[in-house]
Amino acid sequence: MSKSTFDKSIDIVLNFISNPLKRKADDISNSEIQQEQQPSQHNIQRHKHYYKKQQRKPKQQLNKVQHSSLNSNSTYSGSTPNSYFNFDFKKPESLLRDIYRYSIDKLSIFAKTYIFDSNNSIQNHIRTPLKRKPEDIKNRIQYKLSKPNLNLKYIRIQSINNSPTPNKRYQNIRMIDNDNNNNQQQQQQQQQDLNSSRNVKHSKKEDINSLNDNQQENEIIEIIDSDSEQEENIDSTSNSNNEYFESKSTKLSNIDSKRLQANKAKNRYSIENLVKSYQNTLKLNSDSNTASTTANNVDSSAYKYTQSLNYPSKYGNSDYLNSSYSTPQFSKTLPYHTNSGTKSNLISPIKSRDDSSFLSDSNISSGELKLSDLDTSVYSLYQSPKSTTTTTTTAQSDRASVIRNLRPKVEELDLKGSLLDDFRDKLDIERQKTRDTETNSLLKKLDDIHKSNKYSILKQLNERIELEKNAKPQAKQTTPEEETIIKDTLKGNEQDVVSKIGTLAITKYDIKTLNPGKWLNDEVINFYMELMKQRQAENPGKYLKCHFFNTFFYPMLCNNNGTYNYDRVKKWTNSIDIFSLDKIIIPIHLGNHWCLAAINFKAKQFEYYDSLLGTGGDCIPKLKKYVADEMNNRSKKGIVDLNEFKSIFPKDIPCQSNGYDCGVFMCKYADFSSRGLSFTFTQKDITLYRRMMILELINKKMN
Amino acid sequence: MSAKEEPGLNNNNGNEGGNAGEDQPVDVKPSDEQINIKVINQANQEVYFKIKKTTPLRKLMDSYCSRQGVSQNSIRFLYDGQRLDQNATPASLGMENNDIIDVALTQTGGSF
Repeated sequence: MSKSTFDKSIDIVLNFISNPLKRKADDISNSEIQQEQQPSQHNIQRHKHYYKKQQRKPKQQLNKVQHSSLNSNSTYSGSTPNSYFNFDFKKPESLLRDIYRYSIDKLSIFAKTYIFDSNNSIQNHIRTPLKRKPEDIKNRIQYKLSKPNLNLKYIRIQSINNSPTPNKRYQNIRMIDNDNNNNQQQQQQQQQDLNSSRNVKHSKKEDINSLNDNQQENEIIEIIDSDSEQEENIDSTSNSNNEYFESKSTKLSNIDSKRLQANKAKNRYSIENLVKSYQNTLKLNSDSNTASTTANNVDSSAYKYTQSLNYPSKYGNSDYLNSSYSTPQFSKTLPYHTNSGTKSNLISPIKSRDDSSFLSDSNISSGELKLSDLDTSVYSLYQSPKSTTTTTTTAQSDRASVIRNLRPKVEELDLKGSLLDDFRDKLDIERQKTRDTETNSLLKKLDDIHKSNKYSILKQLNERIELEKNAKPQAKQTTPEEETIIKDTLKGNEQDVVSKIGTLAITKYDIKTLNPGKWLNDEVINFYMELMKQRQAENPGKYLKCHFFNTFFYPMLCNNNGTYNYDRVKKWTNSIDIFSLDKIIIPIHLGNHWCLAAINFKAKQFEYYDSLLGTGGDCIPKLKKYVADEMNNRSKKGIVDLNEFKSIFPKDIPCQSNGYDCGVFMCKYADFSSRGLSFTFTQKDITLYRRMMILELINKKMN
Repeated sequence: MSAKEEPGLNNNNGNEGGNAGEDQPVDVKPSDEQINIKVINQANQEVYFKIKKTTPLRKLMDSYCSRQGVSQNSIRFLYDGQRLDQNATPASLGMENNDIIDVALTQTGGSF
């Protein structure tokens, strides 16, 4: 092969791979992924069944069973590709799975690769994408059928014929793997590679195949077309023997038919080769039992590895892929993959990729110990293309440099084995880079999704916190201007009235009770209650509907001597209906102490707040009686059921730590209570609150 | 009740305030111009005043304070739970005969 053709084909492969890679990101959130979940579930069920069967039998026996099922049912005839396989399972996927199993047994990850792709494409082409994005598919297949692919094929054949050394093989496979469209070719090539590496008796057939390869170049795809013409109208779920080819053809039937017709013959050859190679492998499998013992180990790793290999060309079909060819581990995680839609598609590729690199490495080392010499060569084969392929997929961004790296190395590999290690190191670095970039892009996508989610709990929480912040009265330092206002106001005669609301007037003397360390008098508190009334009237809806009794209500109710006399306060509520309100706020004066009682009609409870945590004696019972009498007096009997009312004496409220602040505490209880807030202030805030209350009284406006 | 004796007491000194306020026994029928007002203090003692509807209540309050010997700053006059405005009249407040004015002591508190 000439260097120029080599370069050219690599270029083309990279080109092709870069396209699906770009498209993958766009399609990741597409709804077609969900539509493909159903078939994948179906497959999983079948697969589970299959796997159970496999587990029940000894592995050696299993090998034989598989072998017979494939081999006995499959017949080969060069002229009619439709009669190739008579397989037990009715779905094309199951055939692929059989092949997949075998290939795993023999550590042929490339067979898996092939299955992966073909299965993927079957799904894609049959189910949705053709309907949704015919242009994409068409372009893709046109590309596939274009000349460069044939060149690639040619390169591979040449190398096999000339030197079937591992290094040469490695080079070929790398390119094959990159070409995700030529599934059949890949399969065939891989099998051939394996066979030749093992020097088995079927090498003759293989030679024949490879001899034909030159002719295949121009004929492979024609056969596909003939299939498509014949079976275009056949239901893909029918029980015909040719289901695999059906689906393949159905997929292609939507493409330019003229092109397909021209390429008909080619496909026939490739299929023939495929069958041959499979038969070879099957016999190989039955021959070497040692390999099957490690089959399960390699199974998972190889599977994951395959996934990572094909990831760029998957078009976001990880759901389907995972389920249809899941190892036991994957079938367990199925609900996650199938149910969680877009996110799982975003995440799973990363995960599987990371896993694959780790698992495959470890399994390779363990596998090499167990396997016979014959199989170790396969292992080396298995390792090298893995890294190479990944690199080529990554190289989409920096294609030229990768080519530069690849070509000379590959040539030197024939001479020096040590260079292979260097090469792998480089590839590892490259792979790491790609993984990082892909991870980042996926994370970014996740971020976007998260941002666009308007029902985010965090958002709601933040909003609520903001609301609470706005609602909460802030204890803030008064400004110097405000201080001067206070000073000016308090100058002069103590009996001078500072401000007045209705009949209530507050004098400088009263205001001075708000100075630190002073006891508050009734005037200040009543004025403050009046301010809260006013505030509530000016801002309807912002605060709870409250009525604020003045400080004389309770003494009057108690008839000034601790007894109970409803008549004395009977007329106090002439102008209001307390039962239509949320809360009734009642300042309680106990000799030298201020506390607050509240009748909460909303929460149906009597509340008693004492900054010294007292319970007010018979205060609550009296208030209960008052409510009952009020109901009778206002002829609203039964409007509230007092039996439902609880009495609470909260102990977790802010408390005074001195002998003079209870009045301020009481006012603030009333303030917060009328806002419907919990009491979040502390003794520390009280000095500031005193200052603010002075301002509020002077300005006759509550904050 | 001691309250019954007090009207008599006050009645003797009732003319001091001129037309400011006149203490009347409960059974005295007021004229159209005048109404009887009962003032109940913090000790539940009742004092009766006869007052013209158009007379500002300030006179009643002053009279009460002077007779009881208490400072105006130490007591609060309440009518139906509202503080009495000194310039209000029984007419402006819609007072009726035998209405009650409550007298409350000033309150102050810090601890206990």
